[in-house]
Amino acid sequence: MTSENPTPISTPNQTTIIAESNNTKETATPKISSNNTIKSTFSIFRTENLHPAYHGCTHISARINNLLMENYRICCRYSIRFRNKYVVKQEIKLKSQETKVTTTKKSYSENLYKSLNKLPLPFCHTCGNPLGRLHVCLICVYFGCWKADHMRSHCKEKSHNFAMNFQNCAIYCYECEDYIYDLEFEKICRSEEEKFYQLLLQAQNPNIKYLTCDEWLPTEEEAERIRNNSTLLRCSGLRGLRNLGSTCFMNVIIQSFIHNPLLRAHFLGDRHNYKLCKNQLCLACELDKLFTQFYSGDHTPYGPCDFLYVVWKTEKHMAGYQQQDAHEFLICALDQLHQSCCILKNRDDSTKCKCIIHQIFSGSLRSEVTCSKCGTISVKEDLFMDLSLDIKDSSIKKSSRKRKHKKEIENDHVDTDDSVTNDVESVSSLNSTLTDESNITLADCLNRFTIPEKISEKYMCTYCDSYQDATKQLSLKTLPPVLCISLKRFEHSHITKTKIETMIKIPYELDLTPYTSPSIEISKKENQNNETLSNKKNENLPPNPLNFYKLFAVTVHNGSLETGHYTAFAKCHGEWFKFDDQTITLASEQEVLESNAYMCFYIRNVMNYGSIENSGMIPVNFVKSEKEKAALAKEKEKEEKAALKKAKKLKKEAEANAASSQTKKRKNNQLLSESPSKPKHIKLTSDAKNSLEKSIHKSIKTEKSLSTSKSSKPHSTGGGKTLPKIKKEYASSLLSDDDEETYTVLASGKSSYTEVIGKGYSNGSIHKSLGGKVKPGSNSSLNRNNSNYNHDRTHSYGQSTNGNPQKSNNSKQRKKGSETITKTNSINNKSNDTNHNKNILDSLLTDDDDDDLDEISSLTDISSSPEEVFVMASDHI
Amino acid sequence: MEGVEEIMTKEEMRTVINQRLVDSGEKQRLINLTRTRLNECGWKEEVKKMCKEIIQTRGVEYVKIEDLMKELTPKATSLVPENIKTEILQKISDSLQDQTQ
Repeated sequence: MTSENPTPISTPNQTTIIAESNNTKETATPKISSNNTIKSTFSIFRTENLHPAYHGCTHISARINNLLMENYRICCRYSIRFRNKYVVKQEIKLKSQETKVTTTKKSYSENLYKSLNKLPLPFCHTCGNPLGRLHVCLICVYFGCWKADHMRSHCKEKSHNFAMNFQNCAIYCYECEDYIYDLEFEKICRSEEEKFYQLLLQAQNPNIKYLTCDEWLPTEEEAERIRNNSTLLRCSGLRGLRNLGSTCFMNVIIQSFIHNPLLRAHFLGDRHNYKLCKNQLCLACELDKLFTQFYSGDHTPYGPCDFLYVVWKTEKHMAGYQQQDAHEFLICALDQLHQSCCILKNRDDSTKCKCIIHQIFSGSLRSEVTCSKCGTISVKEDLFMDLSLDIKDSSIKKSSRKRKHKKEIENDHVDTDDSVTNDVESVSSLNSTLTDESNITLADCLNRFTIPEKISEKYMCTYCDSYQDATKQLSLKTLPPVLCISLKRFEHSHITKTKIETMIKIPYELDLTPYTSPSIEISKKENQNNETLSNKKNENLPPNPLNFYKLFAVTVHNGSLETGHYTAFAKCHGEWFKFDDQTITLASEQEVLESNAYMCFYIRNVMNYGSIENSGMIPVNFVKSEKEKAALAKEKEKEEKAALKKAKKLKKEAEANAASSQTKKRKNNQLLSESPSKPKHIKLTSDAKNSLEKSIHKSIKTEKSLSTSKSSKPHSTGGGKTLPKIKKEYASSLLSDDDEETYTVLASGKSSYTEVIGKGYSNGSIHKSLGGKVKPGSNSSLNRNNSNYNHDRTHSYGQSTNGNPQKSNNSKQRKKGSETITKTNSINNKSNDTNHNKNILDSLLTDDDDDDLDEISSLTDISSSPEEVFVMASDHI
Repeated sequence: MEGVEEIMTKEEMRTVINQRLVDSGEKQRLINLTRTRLNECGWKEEVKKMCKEIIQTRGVEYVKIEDLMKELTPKATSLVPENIKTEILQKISDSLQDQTQ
């Protein structure tokens, strides 16, 4: 490692960074200075191209090695799983209440919870306090609390410089006296998070097979082709839109589409190519053209005339030059896009539609109507593409709950609509006062959206067969990947039409757990039991990381009901920008959150890519280009010829050996082993196929276990170990010189660091890395990959079956190998039952649950390995 | 509390309560709840804003975590809305009552 500070390199456009680093991977030779004491495989990475901010502090740069990283990985895993234990528990509870699940799948989440439950409660080794900002030493087995300064004294005593904060996996450097941020450690933390999210997703929906997506990295040859046949464009996706005559409402919605990561990936991934689409007046084609324009590298303002024309033609009420409402336009645009992309015959039945628009924007609302007389509940589920929230009445002053209790109830009856009354304590008391004025947050609006309210008209109750009063409660049943929230700022009363200018504070991160159906259910039960409690969102439901959303676009309206102007904010490449028709300016996050939003767009943090089989999706009917057709035809011919040959062979053989049944059997077996994938004449039953695959996996397993069992140290920890003894053993094994030995002791997953950084981005990132479409007509294999997209997958982040089969197989092998190590460990320690046994900790932290995932994936020919992570949406913002 | 002859100091009382809450798992729930509430009402954003201001004015290399904490803790605690405080206090007393029963 060079001891000098690397020269700061200004971070150029992201498009060029990744291309360059690809170059250096292949061609650069590492700089080796004379002071190079610790040789690490990642020295190239650290010194050559990355900005110094990535490197944490000089202390960690000097001391980084595999050991430290593995320890950090284990600690991260422990922390993430321990903290989210209750989320898993909640999922199981909910699952057991819902409709029946097959027994095998149910046990998945229960097994997961069981293993998580075994994780011991961490506490400070000096004072025994489990709270007080616990930190974990990254070098030895020590937990220390912060408040009593135990962690820092440990750092001082033992010169163990680095500790990890148990709550958020941040690394503290004792010498710098501060938290440091190092890119490689961040990546480890991220990969552990994503692994856990996958487990969580699977527990939430045991019937769906979730996929992990490989990062696509070009091979030497492909990289060569890309470099030779394409030009890198300095494009950023930022382009102003000219106002074509009060079209600012359209411009802001277009900007929100362009900066929607999922839509962007869909269109830049060529999933709807306007050159190939044969529909007339297709809005999706127009959107595709827009994407092309935005990523063309041209920064001059663009006039979306074609787009406007198609909108006018298809949604006639939008035609004309009057000012329109942006929210209304959003609804129309989404509907039109759905019509263009939908492949169902009955396009108006949106419940069954799996087009990209529905995949991205649609969620479902659960509406529960309770008859006030007989108490029967009728439940209905509706699809929604966006949420329209009422703004709380600003005339109600918010202050401490106890003081103004009575007055507020009176106010409620006076000020709110006749149709809305709250049957429990005043909702306004839920609001907080950061300053003395009333501050309404988005959470308040969502609260109001999901409280029970009386229906104004009499409700026909089927049970008591009469018209009765009833209350209705809404809750979010399924959450869409992208959530559009619009605030009802336009009030139409009998007398006046006014715009509500109330400032609504929108959060950057939004947690939807309290508004989901399970949460509402539980709070409802609580309310029934305990009448005195207010109708607060249920606190017992732990915040589920799967329900976290991040803001990526905001629409702002300035002016009055009759006339005004729309502007938008959107996040592009990690920065916020303000879009005022053709003027784009840099904005701060503060500005965005304080703008008086009209619509806001949130994207989910964790994406769940289900398998095609389970989602019921049909491959897109793409009009195939002639080349592709020819290629397909050729392949078909080949297959048919081969099949005919086989048929002839079989006939001959059958005739020749008609007598002995034994020889027949032998022949059949031969044929089976030769061509297990030709289904025409040899029908492999699913059982045979499974057993075949299992035997393949077993053979890989045994191979690996043979090779690794030699190097692994047998753990002879017998009997109930108390903490100090384990500390010594653990510490000694950690600090031993033989890195490889200690590595297999600790490591439960990856055996090579390079794999860690290799993963993490789905195929969607092609677009990011090359900044847009590759020049058409190039022979790069990128196009080949894209066309394979069209055949197999329907959703933009599909996983690549052509991808890197060798790579994933290797990692799979390694994975199996390490599993066998830990399995032998756990067998040795069966007699132990202390929670503090390090080996149990290790074995707990291995993904034994991955076994299930492996089995599932092995049964479906998907070359995925549980270690490969799927992308977080925030990567693409 | 019945039958307690010794007078506990505030500190001891605090540790006992703390221990009870932690053992029952209630403390973790309370911490989660506080976090959710503070996030909902925008307190977290406010504090974040204050941190950013300090870091931007002084330069990122010169600000350490301890300094930030020392400076901001009094301001931040004063910013916590009253209703959240009362809610949490209520919950603590409720859970302690449940425990003694």
